[in-house]
Amino acid sequence: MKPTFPLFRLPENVIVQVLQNLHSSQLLIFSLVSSKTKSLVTSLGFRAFTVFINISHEIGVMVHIGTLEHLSSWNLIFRNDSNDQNAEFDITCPISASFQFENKTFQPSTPFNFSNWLDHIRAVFCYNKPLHVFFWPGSERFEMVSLKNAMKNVNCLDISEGITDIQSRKILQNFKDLNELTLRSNPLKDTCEVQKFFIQNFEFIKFHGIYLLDDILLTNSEGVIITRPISQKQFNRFVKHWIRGSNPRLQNMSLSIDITNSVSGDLLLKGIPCDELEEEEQQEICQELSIQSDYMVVVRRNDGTSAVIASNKYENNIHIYFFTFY
Amino acid sequence: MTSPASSSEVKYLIESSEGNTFDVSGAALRQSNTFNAMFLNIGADGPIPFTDYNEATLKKVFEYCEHSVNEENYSGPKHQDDLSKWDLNFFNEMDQKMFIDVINASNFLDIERLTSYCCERIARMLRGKNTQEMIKVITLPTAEELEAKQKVEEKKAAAAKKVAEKAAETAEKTETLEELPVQQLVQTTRNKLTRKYLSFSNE
Repeated sequence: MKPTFPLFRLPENVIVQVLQNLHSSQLLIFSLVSSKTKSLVTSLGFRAFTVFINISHEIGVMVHIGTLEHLSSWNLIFRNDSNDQNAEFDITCPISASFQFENKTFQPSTPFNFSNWLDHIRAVFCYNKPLHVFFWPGSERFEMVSLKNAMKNVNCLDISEGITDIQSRKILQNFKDLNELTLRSNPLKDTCEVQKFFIQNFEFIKFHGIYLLDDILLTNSEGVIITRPISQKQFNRFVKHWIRGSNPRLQNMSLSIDITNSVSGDLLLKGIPCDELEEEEQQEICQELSIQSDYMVVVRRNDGTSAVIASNKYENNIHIYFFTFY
Repeated sequence: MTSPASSSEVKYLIESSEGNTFDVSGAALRQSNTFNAMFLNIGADGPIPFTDYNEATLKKVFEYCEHSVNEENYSGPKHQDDLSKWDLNFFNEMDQKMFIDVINASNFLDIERLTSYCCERIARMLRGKNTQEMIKVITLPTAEELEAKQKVEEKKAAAAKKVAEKAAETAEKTETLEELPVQQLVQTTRNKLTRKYLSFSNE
């Protein structure tokens, strides 16, 4: 048969069936051919359930489509032609794309800039949720306002290791109204300014930098992950404060405790009224929350709210999961 | 020469666009959901008019159906690499025009297995292509071609209506039969079948 095929001479239901045989990445390319092909792909009803944007010296748009059982994903890469990785990357200009691990670039019939690409992906794969953006070293080459304008609605931000404080501050100034924030360190000049992040009403904050007990006590987020270990004494004080009413929005927190200079974890709950959970209950909670724990207690605060403290000892650390039940 | 599909030996007469008729086994024809919906339970009185498709196309389609009569029930699309040698030969010996005609006929007759294999075959042409290459492959239609396509669709709708009318007409006759007492009905059907097989052997 000829290498060409007059696809549009076929009835629409057959064209749809042909498209159902293609991977979603190929469907993206097909949707770029014309407005007709765009509407055909859109009509297939494939939905993206997450769109991650990775910004380093290039931009990667990772899209997951379908359901967990029938997952299809691809990573679309936007590169600048320039050999100099530090040269400014103007995302307002038309740009072609390629899939990760493929050198073959492609572009729509009408040239797209980065913002047009995102709009197209959102429209074709029915994605109207805010974006999850990761900044990596190299992202300095992008003009922040253009990025913000192109991505429009960003609610999850992850500033990775290796990004300078200046760049981090620039990112944080431009991307506000966040629900989730991940910071590797405190980019603000003064150490105590880290409280500015903890005090915000995020759904989730993950912090890898240095902090004090006072910082955690100010936390207004529903979910917290802090990676630097604190001492048993500090955690003990945190729980006592929580019982008295601090961190009213907190729902779950994950942290680790350094027990290098301690024989056991006895100091953890010293002076705190708590009940150990039955083995069966512990197993049930571990299963439900997908955690590992070798010891679990319930503490209650003065207003009646209870929380489970699950601990899991490994090497010189005790990993703590703190879950409240409202 | 046509009859209700109660027996696996039943043959049906098919009429093509040229007005020619040829017979197809009931087993092969039952792979067509269109046929099943219209004629399976009531039978067909006279040739079934698939007059929107030429004889060569219909014969090709039913050649496929006859071949896959004994294959296991269709359970969704099969990867091209899993196709049998016979299947591959079947597709490879068609030129593009015939291939398009076969897809269209298979789609109209709603033969899932054949339509699905055809679609997978077209999808293969698109895989690994970038936008510009896809544009070349799918040869985007001109305005005239789009207009012509619409006319074809209209013509097909009319043909489908014609087939449906035929089915309705046959159904009416069957209903008349159903009003007869059971003994009489059995005898009438037997006579009818005998007449049809006689006329088939006379041809």
